[in-house]
Formats: sequence, C-alpha cells, structure tokens
Amino acid sequence: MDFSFDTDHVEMAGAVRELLTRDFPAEALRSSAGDRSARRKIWDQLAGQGLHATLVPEARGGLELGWEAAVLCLTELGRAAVPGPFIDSVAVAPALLASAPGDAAADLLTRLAEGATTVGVAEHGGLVACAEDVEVVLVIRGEQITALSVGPGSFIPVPTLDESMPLSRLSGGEELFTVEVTPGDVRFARASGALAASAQLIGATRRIIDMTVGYVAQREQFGRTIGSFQAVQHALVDAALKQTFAEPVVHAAAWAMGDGDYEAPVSHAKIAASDAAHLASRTGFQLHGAIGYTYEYDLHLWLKRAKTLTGLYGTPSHHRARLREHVLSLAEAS
Amino acid sequence: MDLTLTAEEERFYQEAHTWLAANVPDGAHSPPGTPEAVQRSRAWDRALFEAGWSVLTWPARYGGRDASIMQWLLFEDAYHSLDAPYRLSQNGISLLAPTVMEYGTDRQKEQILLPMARGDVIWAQAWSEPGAGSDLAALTSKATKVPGGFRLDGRKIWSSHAASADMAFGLFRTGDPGERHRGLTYLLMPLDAAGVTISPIPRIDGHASFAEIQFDNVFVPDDDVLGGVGRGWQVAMATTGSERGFALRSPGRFVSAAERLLSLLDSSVARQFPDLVDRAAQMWQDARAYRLRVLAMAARVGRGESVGAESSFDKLYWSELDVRLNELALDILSATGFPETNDPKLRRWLEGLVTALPGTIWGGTNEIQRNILAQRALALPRSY
Repeated sequence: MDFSFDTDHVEMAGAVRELLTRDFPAEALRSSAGDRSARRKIWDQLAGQGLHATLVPEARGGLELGWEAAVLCLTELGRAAVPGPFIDSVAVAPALLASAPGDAAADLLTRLAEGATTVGVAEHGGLVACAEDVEVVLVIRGEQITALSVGPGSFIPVPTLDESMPLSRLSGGEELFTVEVTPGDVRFARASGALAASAQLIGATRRIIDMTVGYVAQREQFGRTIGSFQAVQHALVDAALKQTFAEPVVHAAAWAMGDGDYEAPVSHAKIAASDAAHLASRTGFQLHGAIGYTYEYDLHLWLKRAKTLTGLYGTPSHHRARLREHVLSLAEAS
Repeated sequence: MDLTLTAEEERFYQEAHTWLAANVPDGAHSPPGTPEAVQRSRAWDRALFEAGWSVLTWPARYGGRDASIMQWLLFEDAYHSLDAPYRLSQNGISLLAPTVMEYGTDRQKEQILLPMARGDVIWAQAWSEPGAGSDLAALTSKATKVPGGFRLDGRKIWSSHAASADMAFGLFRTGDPGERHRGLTYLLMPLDAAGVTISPIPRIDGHASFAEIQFDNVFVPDDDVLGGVGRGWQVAMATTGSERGFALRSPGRFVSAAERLLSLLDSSVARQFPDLVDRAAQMWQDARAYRLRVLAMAARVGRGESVGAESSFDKLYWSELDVRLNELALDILSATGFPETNDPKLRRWLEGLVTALPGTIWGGTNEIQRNILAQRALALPRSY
C-alpha cells in the first residue's frame, strides 16, 4: 500500500502549473473568450509539454503515462480554468479509440497525442463542449463510434453561463470513419470523462478557496480585516475541509482506473469533487460580498467553470444513483 | 501509487485478525465506569500486551514492535472489523506516551511506558477547569514550588475515566496568572495521593465516564515534571496534536461501522425508505474518504513530512462522521420498528451514539479546531 504519486508525475504537473501561471493568468482567460488563435496557442503549448499524449498508448505515439499523471495535470488545467476541449481530447477520445480497429482511428489518436487536432465527444444528449474549437466529433451509438469532421455550421449553441466552456448541440458533420469498440471501452471512456472533470473540479475549487482567502485577508470592515472574524473563518474552513477530503477520493479513482474496478471509485470522485466545488463556490461568492457579483472581478470565471464541470459526464445525481445501487449490492452481500 | 496490500501487509493483517478473532472478549461494549468494566479493560490490555499487540508502533524495549503506521492501520482495521472493545488505556497511549517519548527523561520513559502498555497503570488527563475549557491558557490550578517538588491546588474537570485511573497528567500554573500559556508546567501525579478528591460525573446515559479532580495541597516531586518547568504549554501542544489526528481515530473504526450499518439495510427498508438508502450511501462514501485521506497522510508521514495543524481537518471530519453514522443506524432501526426490546444490535448503536456525541467537544471543540485551521492552514489573522 502506497498512496503517493510518482515524482515524475508530480514534476510534470508542476511544469504544467508553471506554464499556466506564467502564460495563462485570468486576463488571458478573459481575452481568449473571443480569440480562437489564443486558445489554440495555449493548446499547443500544453501539447508541447506532453499533456495530450498522457493517456495515449505508446503504440499510437503516446506517452502512456496513465491516470495518476493525467489527474495531476488536469487539476492544474482546472486551477487555471483553461478553455478548450481538453476533457474529450486528452481523456475520453483516447479511451474510446485506444483499441479501435483500423488505420483511421489509429491516425486520429496519433495526431491527438501530438496536439495536432482537436476532438470533441457528443455526450449528454448530443452536446459538445467547446465546439468552436473542435475539428472532429466522436458520436457514441452503443458500441459504434463514428468520427465526424465538423465546422462552423455543424453546431447549434445552447444557452450557457460559462462563455469560456460553452455547450453546443451537434447538428451535422461529415463522416470520417465508423469503428466498433467493446462495451468496456465505452464504459471506460465515460469514466475517463467523469474523472477528468473531477480532476479539473478540484483544481478550480482550490483556486476559488485561494482567491477567497486572499480577499478576506485584505478586505477591511469595522477597522479590521474580515478574515479575522470567526463567522468568515469557519465558513472558509468548512469549504477547505470538503476539498481536503475530496482530493484523495479523486486521486484514488485515478489509481482505480488502472486496477479494473473503477466504477464506484469514479462515481465517488465525481460526487466528492462536485460537492466540494459547490460549497467552495457558494462560500467564495458569499464572502466576496458585492464585488464577487461583478463581471469585472475574476471570481465568476471559476464559479461558472465549476458549474459546467459538475454537469459533464454524469451529474452528481447520476453518480449518486450508481452508488446507491453499489451500496445496496454491498448490503445484500453482508 | 498502489492501493492494494503487499503480500507482507496482507500477512500482517491476517496475523492480527486471527489473533483478535480468537481473543476479543465477549460483551465487550458494556458501558464504562463499573469496577467490572475497569477489570475487563485491564485484562484485555494485558492480553494484548502479552501477544505484542498493545502498542505496536512503540519501540520494542517499551513493549512495542516498532511497527509502521501502515501496520498500525491494518491492526486497527482488524480490531474494528471484530468490534473489539474500547480501551481505558487509550488516553495514556495516545496522548501521554508520545509526549513522554519526545520530552521525558530516561527515568520517566522506563517508569511510565511499560506499565502503561501492560494496562497496569491507567492514565487520565487533567486539562480542563471550570473556568478554562476552550480557553485552556486561562487555567488557574497552581503548582507552588516547595523543597524537592511542588504543591498542587485547584480543580480539574471533564477528566475522562479519572474515576478508574491510577495516575493523571496535566497542566498547572507555576508562573503568574497573567502569563497565560507562558507560566505553565506539565506534571504527572498519582490519583491516590493525599489531598486528591475524585468526584465522578455521570454522562447523559447516567454512566460515569468522566470526573472532577480536586487538588488540596498535593505534593509532587521534581522528578514528575515533564519537559521542564514553565514549558508546559509547548509540551502539552505536542499531545493535543496527536489527540486530534488519525492517531486516536483510525479509519478502521468508521469503515467497520459503515459496514455494520449497511447490514441493517434489508430489501424492505430499501423499498420503503429511499432516504435511508441515500444517507447510507453517503456514509459509505464518507467513511471511504476518511480512509483514503488517512492513507495519503500516512504516506506523507512515511516520507518524513510532518502533519502539523492539518490534523485538525481530520478531527472535524471523524467527529462529525461518527455522530452521523450512529444516528443513521438508529434511524434505520427505528424506521423498521425495534425487533426486540433487548436487541444487542440496538444496545451497541445506542452506546455508539453516546460515545460519539462528545467527539465534537473533547480534544479542543470543533470551533477551536476551525480557529486553528483558519490561522495555521489558511494563514488568516487571529480571530475575534
């Protein structure tokens, strides 16, 4: 038993964090909203660090580092709220295509690993995240995966609060190939999406807590910083407490992805990360007072992202329903 | 990362489980405070000691086997899966012993540790006073210097198991009252000394589990100062750190309780009361999260990192989880109608709830834990 990460994985995530701190501060996130080339630039920079190859098998040109590395790196993407189809491209598409037959699927995966293309997955009733940035969409029908080449006319946007991670309904596209995969591949791909979202959530939650601690430590009322009031301190500690106990659950799910018995751990991870993000969001919003309700202040960027991530690859309700079944099966066995 | 047990860990767990399964006494969870309960606890300590399980992580010369934290966690898993009993020696083992190992003289180590491990000497803590609970540094019990030692005067209260204990450890004021935490000294004293009066205090179910200790001119020799005169606060904080963290509440306790809870959920309960199933699923998750958090902390400690103020997160988490687990079990049993008036399961969960309730108060209330975390983990200013 050893619940600790490999130094190599920690260092890789550290390099991602350094890059994002330097080149993708909140101003960059704001200006990237209407600037596709800026989004492509950070995409390429992250590809240069090997992020896109993390979960791609070596046989397909990937690094095959596994989920422990991926979870640490994706946490950093959440902390910086990097926009783009990272969950689908880095986590879900590799899981869907890793053992798919045929050259077309293999080529797509290889180009993905290099960061040379962008792939979205039509999930959640045909919705694609960050569709504007996506060149290829994978559609799952049972065990059949169809890859579509898509362009500006292939989507209908749906209303959303999070303009840096919008959702669109797939309405067209040109078929590139269709492959047959196993039910296990599809299950694993959906779990990959849920875990990638969970990893980004714990990063976003850390950022919300850090922003709020920073704010209450400098905001003064009644002649002292509001961070010295117990009502404020205790609310923040409760948010940090939920986060503190969500992180190891997400990390354990990363290990479980390589263990085979991953379904309950991943559902637990998505619930824990979503619950922690929700409490931190509500607490962060409340403790910022009126400034947190403005467009000018950065807090809303992370509150919105946390909300979007919570809905991707199974809402907490979806995962709670799965764990309810799991627990009843344990009860029956006992 | 590898979350499976190594062959060696598996063997260790099996060894512990096999021994415990053959030796855990019957009727172990009767309420504390009766002379029979105290005798049973001492005998159980003795049995654990003789088989080498009493104080696993201690050095061999003090009755331990130099076990790793991981081995201790595995032993605890086995211990709680068999629902083995609470030990009256727990206060001494978890709170005093780490302090003695860090600050004690060689003579103190020799005198204190082995008899504690064997269950021969049971220790009670003497921290709180009527006017000094959360604000412990306001304590006023005095230790006045006399030739060869000190004279103690004052009153200590909420002292767990003091009525059954042989010795006590606590903080006394050797400096001026205005010095707060600077003028304190950590002292050890026998509870049968002349001038000590112990008044048991029944807890909410009527059973005595804590007590008030009155000190009237009680002599303590210089040799029974732990860690130096006037250094009591810093010495005592070392023990409260271990009291808060996972050292006192291993995950095995909650994982096993969650498993016993699930066994109450039969199909008719599940059909009629979906809210109970949802709450049970949450308990399963929360107990699992606690286990994972502790495993991550154990790995950090294994790498030589110190845990520090973060252990207050664990105290908040386990104390609240413990109450919710026992409450839910009783809610399930009441929803289905208590099967028999003398159901041992029901008694066990009632005892569990009564034991769990003060967890959010002792060892520093959860409000104090939140203050500590705000200031030391989040680096916020001192609070008002």
